[in-house]
Amino acid sequence: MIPASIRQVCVTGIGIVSPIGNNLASFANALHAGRSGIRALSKQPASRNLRVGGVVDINFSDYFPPSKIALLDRVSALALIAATQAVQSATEHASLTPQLDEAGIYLGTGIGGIQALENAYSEHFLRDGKRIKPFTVLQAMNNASAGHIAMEFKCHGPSLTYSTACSSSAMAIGEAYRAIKHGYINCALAGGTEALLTPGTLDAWDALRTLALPDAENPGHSCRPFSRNRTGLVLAEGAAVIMLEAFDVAVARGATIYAQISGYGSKTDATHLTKPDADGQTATMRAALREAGLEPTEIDYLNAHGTATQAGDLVETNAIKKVFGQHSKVLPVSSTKSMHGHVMGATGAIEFVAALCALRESFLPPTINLTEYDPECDLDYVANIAREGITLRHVMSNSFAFGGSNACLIASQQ
Amino acid sequence: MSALSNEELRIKLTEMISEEFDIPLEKLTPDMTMEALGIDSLSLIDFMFNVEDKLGLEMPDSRTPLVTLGDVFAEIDKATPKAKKLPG
Repeated sequence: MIPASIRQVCVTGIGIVSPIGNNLASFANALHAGRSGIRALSKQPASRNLRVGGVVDINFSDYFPPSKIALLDRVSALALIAATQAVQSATEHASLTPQLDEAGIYLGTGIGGIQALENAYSEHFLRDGKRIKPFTVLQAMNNASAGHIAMEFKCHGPSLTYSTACSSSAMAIGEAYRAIKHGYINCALAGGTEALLTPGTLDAWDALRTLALPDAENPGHSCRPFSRNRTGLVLAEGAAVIMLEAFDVAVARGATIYAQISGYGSKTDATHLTKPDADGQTATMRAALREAGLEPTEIDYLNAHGTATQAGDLVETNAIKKVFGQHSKVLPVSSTKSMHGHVMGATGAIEFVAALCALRESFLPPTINLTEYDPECDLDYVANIAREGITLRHVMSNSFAFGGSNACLIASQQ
Repeated sequence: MSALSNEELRIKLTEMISEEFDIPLEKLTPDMTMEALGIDSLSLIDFMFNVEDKLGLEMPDSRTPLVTLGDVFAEIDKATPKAKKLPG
């Protein structure tokens, strides 16, 4: 089927709560400064080794009344705060408010309200099992965050929750982009949320042997993408939500336009549950380029998936070489996970926001902690220090997930 | 701690509702509906759960709709003290 109308889609609002900043300005400042948000986690059982993570410093009572907090798992509270910022930034400086009543909600999360679920399981297995909180189901269900956002802003469009592990929120943004592009809706709140720094989740990830060995003296140095001494990923929490609108609708209401979304690729490895696959990643990036109608040489910056696992960074480097050819020798590629950690279901959205910051503020966010050259990872990773005053026209963001679900987004100057 | 009488429980419960939902004590009469007090069904379920904890009570697993404050009082009247979890 050929859609009746193809419309340009733009970003008109951005909200973010992350380990390196709880609004767009502070998040962007951290990217400029190359500041890490990774630290030692408190409240760990004494029997465990030191653990590190990317924690969001936030006091929910500054944002919600107690009766509301009772209903919210941390994952939904973070999502609501990010969505509220996105709506605020889409509304200020515009002559008309966005058409929120028709807006769709497209949200990604890897594991939803896991804190509520862990609390319930603790009650069930460790105590008499009769004191499981009545709101457990409502806090734990994966679409709780989307439901809260819809209620807060009275959005009556489709409300969809994507759960494709590490690419959840990139998929959510991509699918929202297409729904607007093809005329199903005029605007959407899209992004992702995750709050998984719970004891059981940390244990489960630890058992998989993919977590970075913590740097005890300097926890911020634990996540080292593309560096030869990288040891794995660092789990983090956070949320990012962006407002997407059809270009004509945004212009008609006098909105500030941050960027245009120009392409989205979504492909599956279909090879292995955890092992990354260069062919799948290559196909994903090429699909996004094709939709954007861009040549590889036109991409000016790539925000890599770059989790800092030995295998992942190498495979992605090889996939980038395959897609970009000669251009890969000069294409700046960075992993901002080195600063904010791996935010799982929210990480695609957070990194897309990082790419949007780069586009808007004409700079390249760095890969920090890149201290040892890896002869096999030999791209320009914008090592350690941001590069300022670089005009960018098209930026790409990669998200590759367990399960083989890959996504790639491209944003362009309007 | 000795068990509270039904009358004492009602007074205690009224104070807790007033504090939790920020409603003046004098508005909390038995004929008032939860809807009129601005307390929705979900908030009430969570509140009653906390009441059980704080007052060391166990309420019967009834499915009676709690429409008025009087219904809530009646539910509390049916509660029994928890043997092991009395506060204080």
